[in-house]
Amino acid sequence: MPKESAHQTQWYSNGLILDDLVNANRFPDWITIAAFYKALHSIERLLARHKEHPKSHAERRKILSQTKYQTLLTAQIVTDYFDMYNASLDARYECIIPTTTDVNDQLARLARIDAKVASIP
Amino acid sequence: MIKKWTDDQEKQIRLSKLSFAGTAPLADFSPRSRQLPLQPLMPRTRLAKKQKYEFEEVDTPIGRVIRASILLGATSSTTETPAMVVLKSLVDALENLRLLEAIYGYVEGNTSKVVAIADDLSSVQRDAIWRVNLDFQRRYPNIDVDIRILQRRGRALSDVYEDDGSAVIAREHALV
Repeated sequence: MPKESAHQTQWYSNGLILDDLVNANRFPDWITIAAFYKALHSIERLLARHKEHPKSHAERRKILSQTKYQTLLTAQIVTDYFDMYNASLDARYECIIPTTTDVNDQLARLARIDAKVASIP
Repeated sequence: MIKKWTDDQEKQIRLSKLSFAGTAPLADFSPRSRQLPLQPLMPRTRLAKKQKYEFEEVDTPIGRVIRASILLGATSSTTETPAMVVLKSLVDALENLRLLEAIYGYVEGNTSKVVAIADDLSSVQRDAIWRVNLDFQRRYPNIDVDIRILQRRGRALSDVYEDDGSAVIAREHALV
């Protein structure tokens, strides 16, 4: 199972792809998806630190729903993650092209998640 | 102009029979602006009394699932699993938000899953739904509680979610 450092590396790599897509101002669906996967590895960095290694999205959802993580991250951050995941499903499988508002929402949620995880020692 | 419903929508209207219950006023949320005109999914009806659920086990392409249907005034005689109890409570909680046009739910083993459908929701409105998911998952750690939000964005319901044999809890959102 990946260590915290591996998730950090993946988080950084996903961020590079996301930056390229945002700068190109194209493919809002892939911006949405890349943003979600960056957030996922941000969360995974924290979970790995606490010896948690979810094997599925469902398992990750259960872990994040625990009072411990709602307290550590705040309920807003956990709902941010849930919404980002939902948006990525829309982009990947429902052929929904995100609007500018959707993309801005997704990036705002990512920024909050990254900031919160970075602030936790 | 009278809107013609698709076969699926006709089926859902017959299945649900009446709109969902509740006497509280609609929550004061303002929907986001849309490019397409709002298309009501189902005819407007008066609010009805609380409806009871009837469950049956059926074999579907995704496995043996519990199909939920609405029977006004009926009481369920089916033995309820914990996941079914959670599902009904979850649907009630989501209905109380007064944000959704339709709610589809099913139980499979220890999974209680809801597909929540609305035309368009703001991020604040979606957060209200995610907090319900959080709350229920925390309260029932042995059940996999999963909510999926699908936004129609002006599309017909049949384009958004097809009944592939999964259990359905269909609700009509009484628009004011």
